[in-house]
Amino acid sequence: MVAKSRALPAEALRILDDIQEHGPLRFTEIQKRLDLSESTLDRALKALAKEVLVAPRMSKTSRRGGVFEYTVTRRGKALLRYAHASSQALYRERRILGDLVERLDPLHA
Amino acid sequence: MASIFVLGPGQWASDTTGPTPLKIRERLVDVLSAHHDAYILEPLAEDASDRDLTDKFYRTMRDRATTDILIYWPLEAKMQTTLDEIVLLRVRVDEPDAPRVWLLHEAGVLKRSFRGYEIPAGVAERSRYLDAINTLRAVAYEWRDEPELFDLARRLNDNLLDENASTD
Repeated sequence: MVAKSRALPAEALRILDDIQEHGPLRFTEIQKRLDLSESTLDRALKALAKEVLVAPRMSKTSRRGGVFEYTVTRRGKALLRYAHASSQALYRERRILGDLVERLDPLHA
Repeated sequence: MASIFVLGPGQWASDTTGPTPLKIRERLVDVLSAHHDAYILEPLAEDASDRDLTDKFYRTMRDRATTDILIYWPLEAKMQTTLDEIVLLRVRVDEPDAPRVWLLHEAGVLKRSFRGYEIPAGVAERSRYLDAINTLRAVAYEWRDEPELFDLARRLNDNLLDENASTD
């Protein structure tokens, strides 16, 4: 039985991009860099971890615990490539189509 | 192709119904074996050349050229042997050919928050076990039920397809 999947939060790609470029990163570092609330970032990182798009590595800071240092997994890198390629392809199509895009019937746009 | 040593308990600590932790680990091995070499530690045989389980543990890692360790950690299971194995891993965690460690733990094994994680009292009472878990530098994923556990294993499988895939 496969667990029900959920869509990723809106900030997920931005967070993934930031970790890819500047990682490994801790929660507070990501929060500061992207100016996100604790709850928003927490929700997004949990969703990214559930999909194994990030790797939360345990890093000891005290006798009983520590923080997670996040890096992007191979799946995460593949998602970023796909997302960037899709947006670049869309940009090219829009440039070719010019103002036709604006004149398309909204129902079929 | 990765070589994955799947560690974890064999029995429940209480009268839990359903498959044993050993059966669940064997199913994890089946999932991972779709693309990789995955295995569990075989019992010490009567005529084995290994002096003890510590010898067998390290010899298995060496003979199978282990690249990855996957620790399955449910609640309510007998964890003593797994804790001992975690200490054995901790001893060698800084060696250049040390395998990557992935921890698939049930919610509650680690107390997770946006601040990080804490190992609750009861999970590892003795300081050497606490130190070992805390210092292992494992990549830790949390699951709440069996479907989530196996979803994680399948997704982890994809990540391990590339031998050069790095979590660093």
